[in-house]
Amino acid sequence: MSKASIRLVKELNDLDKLVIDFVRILDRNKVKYVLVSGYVSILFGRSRSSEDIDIIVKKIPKRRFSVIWEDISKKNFECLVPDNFESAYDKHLMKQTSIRFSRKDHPIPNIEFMFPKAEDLDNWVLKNGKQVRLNRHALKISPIELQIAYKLFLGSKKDIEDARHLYKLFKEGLNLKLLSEFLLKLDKKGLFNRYLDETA
Amino acid sequence: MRLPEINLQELEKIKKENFRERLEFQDRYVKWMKMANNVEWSAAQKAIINRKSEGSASRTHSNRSAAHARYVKRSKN
Repeated sequence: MSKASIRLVKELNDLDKLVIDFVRILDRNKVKYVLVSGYVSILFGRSRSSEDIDIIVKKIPKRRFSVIWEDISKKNFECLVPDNFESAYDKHLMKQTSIRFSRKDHPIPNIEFMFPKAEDLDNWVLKNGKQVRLNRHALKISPIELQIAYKLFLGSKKDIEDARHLYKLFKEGLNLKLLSEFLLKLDKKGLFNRYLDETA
Repeated sequence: MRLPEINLQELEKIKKENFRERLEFQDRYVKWMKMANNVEWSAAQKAIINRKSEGSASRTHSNRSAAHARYVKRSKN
């Protein structure tokens, strides 16, 4: 792992393949995105699956979104909720609600596609996304430091395990100052000391 | 039928202990990942994840088949 990117060579599973196929469409359309939440832990080997993959996409105008919608449909994906473009843009994305894309006839797993919801935080993530080179494919993920703190903020057992997995795996390469700042901002220093850092 | 006594404190303690044990296992798993080569751990992970998605795909297929059968039956009636 370097400051700018992480290189990972692995056998691809169905979730990885779904992500690679989907972000290829975004990349081709020059849409800025970042993968967040559970998939980040799964990408790096967490031994669990997931029904959805969360992806934050930089807000784009309706006309541009319609081009992407067309492209996504051509590539054998469908939007599960909602099933039409107008509603997807006006009634969901612009009202800070996610929409879900999956491969046609396979609703699970699916891509939870959203414009920034927590505006400041999500825009920061988009700006500071970390590049992952997965085999020959390029992906953008949320910084690991924020993922750890945010997973602790979510707080379920699964989330704490996700946070711990990332922390134990990347411990030596993390920006500890950045991690500490996010823990303070999210008020999760206590949970971090309790579940992740046995030295505290 | 006599229902068992339930000691919530005892159950909470068991729940906590299970979680602690799960975290310990996770540490061992990460240690193993760091020592194993990527092909080894990612093949194991692939088996877990693909098994789940294959299950959901076949469920979708059988749900559709059942829905189709219901539709055909209704049409015939």
